Order: sequence, then C-alpha cells, then structure tokens
Amino acid sequence: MFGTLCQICKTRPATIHLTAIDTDGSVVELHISSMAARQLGLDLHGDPPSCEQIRDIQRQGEDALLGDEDGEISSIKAPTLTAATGATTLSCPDCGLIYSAFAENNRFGCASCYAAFAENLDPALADIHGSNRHVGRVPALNANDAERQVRRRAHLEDRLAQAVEDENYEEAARIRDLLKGDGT
Amino acid sequence: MSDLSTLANQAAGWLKSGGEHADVVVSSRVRLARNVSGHPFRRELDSIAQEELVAELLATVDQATDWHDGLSLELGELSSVERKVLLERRLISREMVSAKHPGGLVVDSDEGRAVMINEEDHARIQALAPGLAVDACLDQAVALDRSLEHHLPWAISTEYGYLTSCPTNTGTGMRASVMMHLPALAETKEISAALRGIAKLHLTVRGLFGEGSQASGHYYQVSNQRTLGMTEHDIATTIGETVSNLVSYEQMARESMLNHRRSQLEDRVFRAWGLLTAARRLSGDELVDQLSWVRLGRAVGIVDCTWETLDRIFLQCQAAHLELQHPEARDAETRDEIRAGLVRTWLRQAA
Repeated sequence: MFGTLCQICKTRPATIHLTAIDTDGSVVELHISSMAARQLGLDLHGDPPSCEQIRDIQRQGEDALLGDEDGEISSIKAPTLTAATGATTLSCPDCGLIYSAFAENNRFGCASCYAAFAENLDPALADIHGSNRHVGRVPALNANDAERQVRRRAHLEDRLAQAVEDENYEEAARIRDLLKGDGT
Repeated sequence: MSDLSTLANQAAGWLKSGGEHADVVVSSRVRLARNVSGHPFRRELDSIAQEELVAELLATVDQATDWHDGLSLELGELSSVERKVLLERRLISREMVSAKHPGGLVVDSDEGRAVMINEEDHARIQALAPGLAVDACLDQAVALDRSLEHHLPWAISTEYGYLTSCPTNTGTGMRASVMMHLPALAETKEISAALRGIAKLHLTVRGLFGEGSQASGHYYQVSNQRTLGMTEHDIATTIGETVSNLVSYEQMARESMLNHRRSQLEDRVFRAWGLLTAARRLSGDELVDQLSWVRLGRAVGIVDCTWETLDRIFLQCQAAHLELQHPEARDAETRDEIRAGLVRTWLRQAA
C-alpha cells in the first residue's frame, strides 16, 4: 500500500489500512493517515472495525474534512493545536479562555486570544494554511498604514531568514528586535 | 419584495440561466467572515449581549447597504419552515436553521448579496451569482465589505488579518464555493481522476446532496480550504482555473457519451423525462436524481425545455419551499404528491 494517499485528507500518505468483508462477500477498505485517525479519535488497539463501522468512519471523516454543503470547514484540528501541551496554561487576558479549551473546541473566544496564544498559534496556523501571515486585504480606512506594516513585516521576516541562513546572528538579533517592537 | 413568501416564490438571482458555463456550473459564491472589534466572539457572549449585537448589526447593515426592496430579518421571529426556506436558497447556513441563539439576515432583492448576522462570526458577508463567477462574487463581497467597514470596525491584526472565531477562517475570512453539475464525469467513472490533484491545490470537493463525498444528482461543490497566506484574488483565481478545467473535462465526457453511447444516454434521459412527467409521487431525492438526467439531456440537446423551468423545479420543489407554499404539505407523503403534481405541470407547460 506504499504510496496510497489518505482517503480522507487526500494529502498525507495512508499508513492505517482498515479492511472488512461484507455479508455479500465484497471487501470494504479504507486507507487513512495517522493524523486523520487521530482527529477522528479512532481506537487502533481495539477490535477490528466492522464494514458498517468503516463506512461510518469514512462518512464522519468526509464531513469533518470536506466541509459542509457551504464549504464551511470547522472541525479540522491541526496536530500542533492539540499537541502543544507545553503551553496549555496560556490564557486570554480579555475573555479568559484558556489555551486547552481553545485546542479542544478549535474556537477562539475573542480577538485578543490571537495575541495571547501567538506562541502556539504560529505553528498551528502554518499547519492549517501552509502560512501564518496575512497577505490579503485590510480595511480601507487604515489600509495605507496596515498594508505598509504587513509588507514591512514580510520584508523583515525574509531578511531574518536570510540572516539566519548566512549565520549572521548579530543581524538576525537586530531584525528580531525590530519585529518584536512592532507588536501585534 | 415584501416578505418571505414573496421571496420563496421568486426565482433566485444565483440560479438563473445565462451565467458563464451555465450548462455545467450552477452557481458561485464568496463569503467573508468578519467580527466587530471590541466585542467577544459569539460563543463568549451571553444571550442578552447577542440580542443587542444582532439588533445593532441589523440596523447598521440596513443603513450601510440601503437595499431597496430587500429583506431584513430577525431569525428568532421566523418559523422553522421559514428558516429552512432560507437554507434551501443558500442564504443562511444549516447551523442557523436549528440555532437557539439570536441571528439575523439582510438580503438584497435578487438574493445576490446578503449578510448573515451572528452565525459563528458576527457577520458573514456573501455574494452569489449564477454560473462561473467567482471574481464577480469577490468584487461584490468586497464592495459590500467596504461599505460596512465605514460603520463597523472589524477585528483585524497586522499578522493574522481578519480575526475569526475558527482558525480555519483566519486571514482573508474568505470561502469561495462553486456548485457544479458533473453527470458525464460521474457516469463514466472518470470523476475521481478529474478530481485527483484538487487536494494538492488545497481545495475540497464534496457532493452537494447525499452524505460525505457521495454525490447524489451529480452535484459537486468545489471550495477553498486555506484562507491565510494567500490574497483573496489568488484564492479566486485558483478556484476559477480549477473549475474551468473541470468544465472542459465534463464537456469532453459529454461529447464522448454522445459519440459512443448515444442511445444509452438518450434512453436514460427519456426515462427520467418520462418519470418526471408521469409520476404521482416524487421524493426530494428521486427528483434530484432524475432532474439531473433531464438537465444533462437539455444541455446536450436531447430534450427541449427551458432552463428556467428546470431551475424553478430545482429550487421550488425542495421540502421547505413546498411546505411554506402549501400548508397541507406537512407530511412527507402529501409533499411527494404535491411535488409530483408541480413537476408534471411545469414540465408540460415548458415542453
């Protein structure tokens, strides 16, 4: 089965292979990635699932990962979101939401949660979106200001990466300070 | 448009013929998720605060949009059937139909633009159009966003963009979806090959009727998965190009069916036509399946019937629409009889 893609997320290699024989002799198969299995809360050490259970898992997975009929995706949990246990004591100063509650429900309580959870959030967002920085529109009222800042940050981040690659740590530290000074 | 029954009786602006690739692409939709700065997200607000927010947003959106002849609705004042009608017209989400919390909807007269209030985010701006029109929907949604942002300070950060309740919407807050009718690809079993590669572009496809990816009636919806790290324009372009490719695959598959299996195709289309023009009872699922064949037959010139009629049947024969227009259609059996009657009458008039 090497090289088969997960039938649910369709992006990661399938490493878990579920098979059962139906009453009419047909074979029911499902090949999924370990991440999809974790998100669906599958118990891989229990009894092998029946045909009906395999079909249920597939339906459940498709609903979670394909979104609903409006294309709304709400239940994707990035592994980093749930696995970042080191910092579960973080909490939002404005609404009081604690990080573990956020990781559990995959919902922020208010806009300030983003800054409060930033440390864990960057890898989680990168996992969901392949990026953790906004490059799209901003409100026109503060467009000049905000757009400029977005561009400036992107530019600084590129320079930081370059400095690290060149092992120019003095320059890297300077750029990091500039980025920190920007706040959120 | 004076009220919800008038709305339920009219053709939806997004389901009209004449859109680009209308024989394959039913409709396009773009929605932008927004939250008002300084207010916690919906889940952290108590019910009184939510009611106040809904009232304030309804008033502000009304004032900012100034849509003559549109509707401004508090969902709590609507019956369950009325809410389902809004769902069937794609104006509110499934979640809003059964939601216990307060919510609102402001919609323009031809249902091309709408703002859903207090769903998961404070506001969800949406634009809908017939055919392949993601760019046009994006322009409409952005224009609407621009008119609202003068009145409402949206929660935004320099790094993360528009801040949303769920991290899957963060950044642009944009979800673009295109509803496609792909009967020839589905029937020739070429659909998986055609859809392969879509996940790599970080788009998702699901069947529109039926569960999971099992499409009933051959309707599929293509949506973007990522909302952060791409501009709105990039998202629209990726979806637009992918859909255009799928349109050509579907057209090739139709062409091949006509050239190599014409009699089989004609048989299937005329059976569906016969069933729809003769049946005395039609369930919603059966209608979706059979209508799909008639649409394909119409697209390739096997049957002659106006697109308006097929769109009208598609929209008006859904369960809640029937129930609202025909109060006696409360139980499924009566509804199936009324549905069959309407389909017979409308097809006969159109043929």
